[in-house]
Amino acid sequence: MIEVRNLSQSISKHKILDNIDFSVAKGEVVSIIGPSGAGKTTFLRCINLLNTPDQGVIDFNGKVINFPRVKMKDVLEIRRKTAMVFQQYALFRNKTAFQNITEGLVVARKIDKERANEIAENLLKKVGLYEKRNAYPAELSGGQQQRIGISRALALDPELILFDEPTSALDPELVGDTLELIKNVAATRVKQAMIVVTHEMQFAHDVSDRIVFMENGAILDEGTPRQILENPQNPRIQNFLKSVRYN
Amino acid sequence: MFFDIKYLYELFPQIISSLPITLSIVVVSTIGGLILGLIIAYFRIERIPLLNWLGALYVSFVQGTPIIVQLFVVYYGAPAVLDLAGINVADVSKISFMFIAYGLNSAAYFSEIIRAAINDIPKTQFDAAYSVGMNKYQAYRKIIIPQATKAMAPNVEVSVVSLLQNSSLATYLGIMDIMGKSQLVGTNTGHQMEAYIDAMVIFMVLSLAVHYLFRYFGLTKRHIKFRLYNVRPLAETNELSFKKVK
Amino acid sequence: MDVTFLITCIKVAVKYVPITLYLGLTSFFIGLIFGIIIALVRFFKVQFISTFFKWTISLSNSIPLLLTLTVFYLVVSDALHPLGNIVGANWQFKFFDRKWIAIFALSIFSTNYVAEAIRSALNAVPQSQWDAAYSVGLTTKQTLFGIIMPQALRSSIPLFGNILTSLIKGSSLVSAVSVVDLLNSVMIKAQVNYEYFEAYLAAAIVYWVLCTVITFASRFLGIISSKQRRIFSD
Repeated sequence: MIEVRNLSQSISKHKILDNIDFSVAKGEVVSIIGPSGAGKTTFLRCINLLNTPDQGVIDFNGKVINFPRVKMKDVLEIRRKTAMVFQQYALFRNKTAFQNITEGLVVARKIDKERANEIAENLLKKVGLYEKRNAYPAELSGGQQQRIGISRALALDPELILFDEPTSALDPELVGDTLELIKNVAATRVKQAMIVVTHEMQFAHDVSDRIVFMENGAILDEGTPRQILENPQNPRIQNFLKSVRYN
Repeated sequence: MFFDIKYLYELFPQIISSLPITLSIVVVSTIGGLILGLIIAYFRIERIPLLNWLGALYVSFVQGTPIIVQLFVVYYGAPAVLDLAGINVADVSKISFMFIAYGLNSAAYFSEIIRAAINDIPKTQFDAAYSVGMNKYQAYRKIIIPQATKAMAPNVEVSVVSLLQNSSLATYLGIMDIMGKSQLVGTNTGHQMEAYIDAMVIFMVLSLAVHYLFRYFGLTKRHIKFRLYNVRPLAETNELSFKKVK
Repeated sequence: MDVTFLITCIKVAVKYVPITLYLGLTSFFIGLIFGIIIALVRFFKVQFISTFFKWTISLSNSIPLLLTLTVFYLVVSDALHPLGNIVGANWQFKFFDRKWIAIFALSIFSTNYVAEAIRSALNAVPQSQWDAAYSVGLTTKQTLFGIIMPQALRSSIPLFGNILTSLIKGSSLVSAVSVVDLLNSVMIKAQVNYEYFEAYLAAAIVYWVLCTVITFASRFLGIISSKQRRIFSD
């Protein structure tokens, strides 16, 4: 469904992404793991076109973008078929929880208001925050904000959802609930593909069809959770797993 | 003749000759204002009873009234105070009243700048200083003030520039500063426009000079004015990305 | 001190508060319109125009208001009649409402300050707000006016209060263009008996109350709206 070829980005001579080739099939769940500063977040942002890479190709369902030349029309078209969940939640601070979910639907996708309200109500009930629908982000806890963030992404009914370390800004006791919610989303999804950047190895193991290991802006290895997490062949991956005390 | 470029050159030497008056107002009031401002800030940060409250009232008065009104209140009110102190008012020159008025005005603004800068320093900095065995004075002297100086420099710069502009109001009391002099020579020669343009140029150059002086001494970085609002951490990613994709 | 005269002066000053407020508010709103435009030009770093505004703002900020007022007065008094001749109208300076000279000069001042305030406020909105808006598919324009601008304007409210009080204080100089405002009205009163200290004190008290009310109102508004702003979502 999405195919990335030769993607590179550098900031003042420092290579953040180095010739990345990567693809996700329809409905597939892929986790990206690796040490901090590996370029995982940058890569995810490139897929959502929040960053403009220096070179490379992104092919989204036949819509091809050749970097660094981008047309705003193409960018918007791809963004409207994807959604992203941010590490710092990034809820719109001037909108209520409810408006956060409907904003993209009404303004960007031109869905009529009643339908958008219906979608938002259903999602808020599903994540258990219907009572908080009129609260502003400032009045919500981190865990609640992230659940709204996930709802905002789901509301758009995207073909691809990107999760950027969705739990790493949360207090430890809230991580479990949020991961459960994402697992639930993964289990009940119809056709959506998911890319998850995460430091939670057990979660990655449980939820993913495929795991990608990134280091220094490049993909070092990829395979099933069994291959990468249980029997890693690459010594770098073995070291990394040891350092995060997995197994 | 509405405008004659020749007069721009001819009037300039006369107008610039009053530069020392303008500069002396700025320099004396800045130094006096900083000292008095520091004292007021001390009262307010340490919450000294009564003085804290008086300081707040004073700052509110200065910030809530036009400087022209303050000048005249000092000009007409100070003699009574000086009389009480046993000073013969006739011996006090007009410009001394200006030093007092502008100094009192700057003190209020400086005290707020100093107070904000010190309040913005995280309390953990005090904790850290005390934990290595410093006393309060040492903590201020070695840890807090150096950090606060950097934080307040841009605001001090803004204050000095506005003091420079406000100094032009001394004209109302017959002081021959840049503004007063340009008024005078303009009226005398009938070429007011040229005289005022000269004055404008002088004020622009002086403000730029203040700006570069602060930068020269490493107190400010380039073009940061509203510093409190300027913090935007650079993420791992390209910060300009949203401007490029347009 | 002549307390009776002080109170008489305060009464006169209060009567002229509307004029002072009119001068301050009109120039504030003119400044708001142009300031927002300039702030956007500067924020998006529009080539050439952005640099142009950077310099005009910093240079016009360094000219004393009294000088600006005097020069405008001079220009208008000299140029109005010839200009009228060109348009074919009989424009006489003595019929020209001098308040507009004052408002024009004050507007330059407020435009500069509003532009800088809003630009800093725009910069202070976290990048993540742009990211989030783009990720749900909003365009730059939709993001700017739906998400970013409301936040920036809200966080500027206390600063707007400061700008308005500065304008009100600055308007005390409009006697230079023969407009009768709060201060000038009291001065006219004082010319009768030369009790200038009382007159200036009266003006000071009225200005003080006026500015304090505005400052508190803007802080109050700022606190109400800051309820919606988050400390730790970036």
